[in-house]
Amino acid sequence: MDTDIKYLELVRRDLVDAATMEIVRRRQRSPGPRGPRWHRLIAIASATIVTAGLVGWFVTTGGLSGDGADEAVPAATGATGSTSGATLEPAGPRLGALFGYNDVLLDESQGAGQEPSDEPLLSRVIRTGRLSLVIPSDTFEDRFAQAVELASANGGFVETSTTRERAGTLLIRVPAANFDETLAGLRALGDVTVQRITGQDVTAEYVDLRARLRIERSRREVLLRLMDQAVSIEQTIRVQNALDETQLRIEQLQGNLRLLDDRVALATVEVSLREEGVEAVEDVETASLPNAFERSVAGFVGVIAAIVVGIGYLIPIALIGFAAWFVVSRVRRRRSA
Amino acid sequence: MDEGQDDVELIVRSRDEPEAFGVLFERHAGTLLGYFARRTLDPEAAAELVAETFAQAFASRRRFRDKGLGATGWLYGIARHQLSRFFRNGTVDKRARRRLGMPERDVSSQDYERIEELIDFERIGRAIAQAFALLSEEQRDALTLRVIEGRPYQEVAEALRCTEETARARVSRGLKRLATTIDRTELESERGS
Repeated sequence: MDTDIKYLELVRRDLVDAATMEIVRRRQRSPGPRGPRWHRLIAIASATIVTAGLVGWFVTTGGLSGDGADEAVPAATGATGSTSGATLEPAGPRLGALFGYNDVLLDESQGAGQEPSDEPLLSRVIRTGRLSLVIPSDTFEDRFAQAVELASANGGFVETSTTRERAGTLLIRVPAANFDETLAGLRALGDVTVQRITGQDVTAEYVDLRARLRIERSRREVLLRLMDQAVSIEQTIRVQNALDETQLRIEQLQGNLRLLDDRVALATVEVSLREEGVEAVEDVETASLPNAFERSVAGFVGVIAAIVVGIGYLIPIALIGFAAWFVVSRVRRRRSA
Repeated sequence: MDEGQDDVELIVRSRDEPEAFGVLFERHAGTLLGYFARRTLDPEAAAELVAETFAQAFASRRRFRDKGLGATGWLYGIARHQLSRFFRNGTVDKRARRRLGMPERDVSSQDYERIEELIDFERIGRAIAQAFALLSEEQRDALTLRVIEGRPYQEVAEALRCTEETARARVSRGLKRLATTIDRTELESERGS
């Protein structure tokens, strides 16, 4: 050093001490050169993806629930916002309870007397089933009539039906509560060749519609108050126009909610009956290469979707963990200083 | 052995050998102290800025890449950053030293006097006079009225028979040119010494 300044000498010593400490600490932390560190990074990344996938799968399918054995389509259909399974029970309510979500829904259902439905149901799931049955020869008319009876016995009705020679299709609507029972009854009519059951969780859409409806109603109240205060014709016309638009939106939202309610309240079952020896006109699912490809794409998308969902759950947990680590390390550093 | 190595090699070695960074410090601390002292005119701040610059350099030595500027360019880049923070905040940053766990050191009265000698007020005065002489006559007049005599811009404009905006522009351009010239003169003298 070309100066005789003591301060610089002290700083030099402090720097070398700090450098020594830093190098020692690093060597203690790191087991070796580059290799193991990369291995560790890859291991952490893999573990994160697997954990995210598992969490996402658990969240989207509700864990191990669901009768997967008799499904024609894999659970991967959940990737498009629906969940599959004969005993389907979406994760919405459970998670809602966990994060105080149910309270919001309850408040909304209690506070909106004019809603299409005041039912304090915490989740909204549209249930749909499709069955293809092969029945014994010369039994088509009987079985067809039995299917119609089964629908009315379960509080439902036949929405549409088509018949041809010794084969036909019925579109049955039954109360959601009797969905499983109806399916079981229909299955008993013949040999099941294809079965597909889906449950589309529309809770989020439902909550969104109700929230928007509430906002529009508040807006209408404000506009009505403004209407009372309007002093000129121009003001009155302007407020009236806004009021008309708001009223239109309210009616649209109510219509959408009613439609959702209807689809949730009444499950849909499409059943195809054909006698033995009659060629299937259109099976719900047939084993073919394009079909297998579609299923593989659906499976791929499902896995990716599950990972994305899982990451969504893991991020807040990781943030909390990071904050805790940060606080602890700061406290430790202060104590050691 | 260290004496024969260039700065870049020292920085690379300092990743695993603390003493290598000590050698780098010995090489540049004095010059850097002069650099800070002449710009801040504050011996205490200059000494602290040296410490913080080297602490910051040590903390970021693993990210060092020689992009043609060499280690000196890298070090002065950090120094300029520290200096601008000092001028902006009015205090010397301590974060890098704290992170490394370095203690805060006081500047003794002997050190204070030694650093003042480094400032070399006479040379700075000469540099300012030279830089001032290089300005245009309009800029010199504007700076004299505004900066030395402290007159408001309205009076400066009246004296120079121009608009206030023009007076402001002349002062601003003059100061900028003055600063650039002084800085260049300083750098040249630092390289020469």
